[in-house]
Amino acid sequence: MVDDILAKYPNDVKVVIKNFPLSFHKQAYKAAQYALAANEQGKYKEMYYAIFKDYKKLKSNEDWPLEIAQGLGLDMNKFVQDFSSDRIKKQIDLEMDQFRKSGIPRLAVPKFLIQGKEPQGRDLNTFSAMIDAELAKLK
Amino acid sequence: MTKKMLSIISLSAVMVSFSFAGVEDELKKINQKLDKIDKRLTAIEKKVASAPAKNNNKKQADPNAVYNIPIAGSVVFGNPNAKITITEFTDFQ
Repeated sequence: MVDDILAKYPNDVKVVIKNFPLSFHKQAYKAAQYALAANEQGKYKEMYYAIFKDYKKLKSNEDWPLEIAQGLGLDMNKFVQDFSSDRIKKQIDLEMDQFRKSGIPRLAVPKFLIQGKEPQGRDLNTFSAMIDAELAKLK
Repeated sequence: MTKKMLSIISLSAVMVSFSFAGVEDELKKINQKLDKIDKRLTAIEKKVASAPAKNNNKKQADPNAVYNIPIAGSVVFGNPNAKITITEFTDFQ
């Protein structure tokens, strides 16, 4: 979905990812840490989608993202260090806090905002219409 | 003596029937008032029943609300200088 939008609006749209790991708490939080650790080596998207595709694996092995990292050819020493860094934990906590304090009535994920507004549907047409309207306002 | 008694009885009978007529009148008025109250109650009940539904709709998504979430060091996909920002709160689920 996000990829479709980015493909359709390569110049005009960016997507900011905010982690809100609440499901099966500990594993989800660790998964967010692993994803941000992969980001340190420019592989956030790859890690994110690999975990996303098979997230149930986290329940039996919460450190399964280590295997993904190896598969992606990441520097494993750096990866493990970044994973447990305070900086990444603080980043996740900040993002969770931003969501909690946003005033958005329902804290359910995934949640999208387009220029700060909640779309009334989660499909390409709804998103495109909102993006086109926002772009028209800027012209 | 009996004549006097009879006249008293008949007089009181007339009085009783008069007061019955008054009671019937009062009853009618009370019934009318009850009908009015009933109608107002039904109207209030309807309003109460529809009010929470309205609130829930508002809770789900307010199309006019704008929530400003600073990027604050988060991961960005796409052109970082793009004019339109989509913010995605996500979890692996």
